Amino acid sequence: MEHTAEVTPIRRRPSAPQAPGPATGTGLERAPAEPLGDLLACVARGDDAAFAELYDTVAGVVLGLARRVLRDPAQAEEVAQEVLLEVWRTASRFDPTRGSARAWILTMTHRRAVDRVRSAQASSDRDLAVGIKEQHRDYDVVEEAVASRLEVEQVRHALGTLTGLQREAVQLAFYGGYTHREVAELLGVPLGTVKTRLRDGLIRLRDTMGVTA
Amino acid sequence: MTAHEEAEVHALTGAYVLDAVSDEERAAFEAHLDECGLCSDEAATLRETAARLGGAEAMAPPPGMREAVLTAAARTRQVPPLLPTQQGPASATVTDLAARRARRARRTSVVLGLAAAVLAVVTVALGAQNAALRSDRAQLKAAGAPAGDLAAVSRVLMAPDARTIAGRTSGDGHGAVVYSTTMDSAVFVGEDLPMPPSGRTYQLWLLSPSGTATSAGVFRPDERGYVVTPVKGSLVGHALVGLTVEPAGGSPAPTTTPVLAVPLRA
Repeated sequence: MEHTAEVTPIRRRPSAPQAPGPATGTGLERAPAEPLGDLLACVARGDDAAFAELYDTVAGVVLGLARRVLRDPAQAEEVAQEVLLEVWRTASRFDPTRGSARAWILTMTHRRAVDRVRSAQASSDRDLAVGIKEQHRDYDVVEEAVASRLEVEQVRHALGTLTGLQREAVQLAFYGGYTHREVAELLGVPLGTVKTRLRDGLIRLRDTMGVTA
Repeated sequence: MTAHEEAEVHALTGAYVLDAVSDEERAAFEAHLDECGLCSDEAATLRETAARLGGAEAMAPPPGMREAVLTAAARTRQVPPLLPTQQGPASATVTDLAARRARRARRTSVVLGLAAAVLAVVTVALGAQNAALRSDRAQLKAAGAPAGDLAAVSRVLMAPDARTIAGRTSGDGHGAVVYSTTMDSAVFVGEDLPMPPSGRTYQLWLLSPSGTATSAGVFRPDERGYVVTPVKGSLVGHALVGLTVEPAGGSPAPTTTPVLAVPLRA
């Protein structure tokens, strides 16, 4: 295991205003407790310094996820830059009652990386069989990783609790960027089974990692 | 949409949050999310889960990237926030959640209107109070329900603030939840519910706004598909009552697509 570096700590600016409190009434709101959500609220108001701080907090994760899906370092960097700029541009559209800022940013990252994979795939066929082998190997080997050891270990442990089929399906879809139809083809199982495995696999990961939304 | 197609749609939450769907499937599922609070809440928790997978991939960005991004930002105009009354533009992306929420709220009110109509029927059924209660008691007794369940059901049905919210299952059958906030308890009433296959049972769930499900008991309907059973547990902190089909004895967490979801706050 090479994961020795820690995640860059969040540097709070003492003057950072608080994010607006949640609206009340429906009982469905969550308190915007995460520092990243506060930062994003500042970014939405055009605060350059807040954006620089946000960059330092999430750029590594955005790039790492893009790299994991795309594999090509140059393309990954391009996608990461696009995503970070999109975060700046659309920060006002982030809604803390609907999920964490981190998930918002990483959802955007994954979507864009996958879009890139699919548009590239239209012109050049990927070797699907190689994809499968790599999935098996990759969940042990992460180059240049700076994710915290705890985070990596939690994910490894959680993936380890899945059944073989759940794990393969989730990894092919998430890290491989394959559609559920492609995953079904790769694994030689019916489409309905893949849909179910993706869902119950994620549910198990959620419960194992204690994700509360 | 047939019940089968409907069940298929619900099952797509996993593939959806993993971006393992085509653009057409995504559009169809997002329309579904507008209408289905259960899927929408589940998608939110699964999206956080996927983010955790992604978060473990962090790597050091190359030196020039920071400058490039900050410079580009300095030259890029930001989009204004969506106002509560604004419609989502046709180009709405997944990030335009405010618009989606507004649409969902509108549709929910339509659904609640329909629910109220169904509720009227159920209320009439329950409204012949004595007869209905006797029949409920008979049903509970026939099902071997503990005396505690009987008492719990009676107390809720007769609570001054008892409210009934009806829902239609994704297959055959109807269900309604009668609940009393002051009693902090609820009763599930179902009719025409299909008998679960052997080795399977219905299981009730209390769902928190974040999508966490807590088992609220298992049941099998009688031969006519009828059931009256307490929703076990406190309603505090929960937003929905859900119903799924699970292996006999129940599951620690839902493993199948809910056939019914009833909001506790109208």
